[in-house]
Amino acid sequence: MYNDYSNKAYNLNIINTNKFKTITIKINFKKLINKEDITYRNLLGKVLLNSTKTYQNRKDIEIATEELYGLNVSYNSSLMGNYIVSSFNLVFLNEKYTEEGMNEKSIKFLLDIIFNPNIENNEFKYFDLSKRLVLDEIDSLKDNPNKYSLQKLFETMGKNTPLEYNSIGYKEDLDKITNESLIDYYRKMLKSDLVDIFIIGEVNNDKTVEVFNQNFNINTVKKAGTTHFVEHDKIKKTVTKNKEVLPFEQSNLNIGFKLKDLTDFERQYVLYVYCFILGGSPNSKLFKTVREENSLCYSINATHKAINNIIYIKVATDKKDIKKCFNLIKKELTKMGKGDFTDNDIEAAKITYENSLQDIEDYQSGILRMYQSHIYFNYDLLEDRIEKIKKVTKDDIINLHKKIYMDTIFVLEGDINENN
Amino acid sequence: MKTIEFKNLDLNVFYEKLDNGLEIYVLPKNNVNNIYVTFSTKYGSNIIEFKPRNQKEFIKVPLGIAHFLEHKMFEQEDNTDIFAFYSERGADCNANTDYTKTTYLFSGPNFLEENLNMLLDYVQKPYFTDENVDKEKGIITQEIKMYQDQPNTVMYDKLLENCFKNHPMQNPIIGTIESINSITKEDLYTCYNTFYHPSNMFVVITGNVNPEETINIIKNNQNKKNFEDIEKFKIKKYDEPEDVKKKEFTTNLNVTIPKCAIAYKIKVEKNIQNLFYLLILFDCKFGATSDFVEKLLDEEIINDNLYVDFDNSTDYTILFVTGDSVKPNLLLDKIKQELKNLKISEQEFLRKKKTVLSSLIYMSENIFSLNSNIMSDIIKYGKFNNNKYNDIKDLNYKDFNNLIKKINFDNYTTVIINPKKQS
Repeated sequence: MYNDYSNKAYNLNIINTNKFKTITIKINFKKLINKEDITYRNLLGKVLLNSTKTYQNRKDIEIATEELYGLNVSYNSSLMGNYIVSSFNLVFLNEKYTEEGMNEKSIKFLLDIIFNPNIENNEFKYFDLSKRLVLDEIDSLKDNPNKYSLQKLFETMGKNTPLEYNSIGYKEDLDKITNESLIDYYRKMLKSDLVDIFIIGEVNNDKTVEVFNQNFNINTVKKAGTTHFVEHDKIKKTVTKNKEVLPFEQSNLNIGFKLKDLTDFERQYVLYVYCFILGGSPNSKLFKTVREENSLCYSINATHKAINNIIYIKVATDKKDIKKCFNLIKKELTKMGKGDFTDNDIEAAKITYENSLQDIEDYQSGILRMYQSHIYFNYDLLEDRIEKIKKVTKDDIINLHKKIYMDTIFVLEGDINENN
Repeated sequence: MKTIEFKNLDLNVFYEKLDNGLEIYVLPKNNVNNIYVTFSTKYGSNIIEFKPRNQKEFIKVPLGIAHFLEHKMFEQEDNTDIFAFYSERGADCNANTDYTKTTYLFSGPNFLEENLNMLLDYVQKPYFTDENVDKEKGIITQEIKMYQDQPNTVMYDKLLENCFKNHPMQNPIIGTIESINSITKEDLYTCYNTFYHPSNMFVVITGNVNPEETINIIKNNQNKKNFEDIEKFKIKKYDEPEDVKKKEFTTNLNVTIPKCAIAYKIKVEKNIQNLFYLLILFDCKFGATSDFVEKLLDEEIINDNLYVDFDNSTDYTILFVTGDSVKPNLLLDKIKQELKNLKISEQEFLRKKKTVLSSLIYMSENIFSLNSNIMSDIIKYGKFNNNKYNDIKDLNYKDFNNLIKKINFDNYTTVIINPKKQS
């Protein structure tokens, strides 16, 4: 049962259900993205989760979570197209399974982290430690060949759009952040960010709204936001190729494609079916050809980032086999354009999608994500999704193929003898 | 069909052992849509020396063969495409191999009968040819190389290699490029015929099912098949010394910040309470609430938390502590030193006990965690433990102290992974 308790300062959404023993809360702060926001917000999350006026030390916070029956609190900043969304997440056992009063105590714990930071003499405690940790994260981006090569692909193909950003941050931005500037940033975030709160579980709605009314200290009136979707104005005629050599065993081939002028229906449904048939399961064209028939790889897949209007194909293989993989992939793409796939392939994609809808209902995080994408991206809710996926036809898939343009190839060449 | 109450969690497990020896565990959870089914053999990478059924002599098979066999079970003589079958029914299908078991699985809310029959059928119908065995070698070689690029995998493999002197636990589950390239279809059939008899296997089902109907599907399926009477196989036993094989190891990989880890090889009676006592100790000492971690952060030896993990696939319990540090040697020394003092306050012990209990309730919400939990019981303790809630409730400070003071914490091995040199 969904209820909207939004006011002018923040949106409050409660999904009441008795299916779960836990309660999940997500509080999102979002703004249109600038590059420096990423580093600021990564650092800010660490500082806030390490200490509050009530719980002065990291240790005190951890002990408090244990006292609250293993409550789980976390923070993450996600890049969602034109926006950056910083989420404070809370999962805790419903007081029915612990002791009365724990629901309110748990919510207040989260609000303490957001609104009651440990600032003394105009300084956040744990600023230096958190800064070192962010620096480590930035430095470690290169350690995972899979993630690193994908990031390089996005950087190349998304130049001057939010697609080029990584979600961790940048050293040059981190260097500039002082304790003072972080405090300013924090205050500004509370004041001007769009705020969306999602609560799911078996709660007393009135009582929960009351807790927020009294303790959620944000009252600036907000204007509605704009679109999350990143559009590509120009489609290049030639494909950009980029390469880097690092000391890994495997080489990574990443191919990025831009999507242009997709309808809502295509973006939400046809694109899913397209990627599923091409490289979304062990039954996909790419898996069968590149892995099963040619033994060239262990994993290969085609994935979409609909918010950024792109898809990408990714495979890890031996350096000597990159070219061979690329040619096989190209052949399979041509087949997609020609409609060289079966009705069974389409049906399998649809039924997998339908089953995943049932799966959404099994998890609080799934239900929550569905409402979030309804509100942020205008994506359909469950019932519409069930109906609309059925309508995808073979022609839709062939038509979608015409709107997909190969844009960039990034190869991370593994050479175990290479010194970086 | 026997009903076993999963005590204090509002859940029941339905159990039946079929005439052919196959054991079935069904845990219905009807407030979710999804269904998760696992079909496992008690055969993992640790079994490399054994007397096959109908043979008199012990044989030794190539490392990584259990995992190789897992890959090859998806090959069918009539060309049935298993992945396509499940895909067309919207189900996820997969398999995995660890040290002590191989598991074939699917999950999906619909078509239970068809999906379940297919699972039993393809796993009980091997088809290995020289050609399809050869084909797999390229794929698994890529899988091995993928793991070689993952510093954490390298680290854990190395720790176990150095912990064990005789036991096969010292080998990576996947084997080596050399060993998997020597595998033949005959090797695969020998292993299959020995370890994939129903009497060595079990099915665990969690999710939105009716237990009786589900068990009947399996019964009907199995009744149509003939399995030869079992002549018991014999697995080689290893006399594993208490001491670790090698004290330390250092290597260079493509990491930015050095990684280090320590593994303690501990011999205590293997039961769930002892495991919790050890984990509580390590959590108190090295978890996020410890003064120790707080101090390391202050001294800039680490910038992030340490991680504690464990393995109890053998008679030994291995406890791991890992972390990133620019001063890995110093960090390891400090960890060793920290275990010289085993004083934990009763208040802290009780707080940790509370979180162990709540994590059991969190676990009981998830059909995948529940399934793994039942599988792990069967493999490690021989049967499903329905009394975990009370086992945790009964944890007490006195027993905790009695246990930990008996342990020799000088029996460890360490691994350091340094960055490759800058040119």
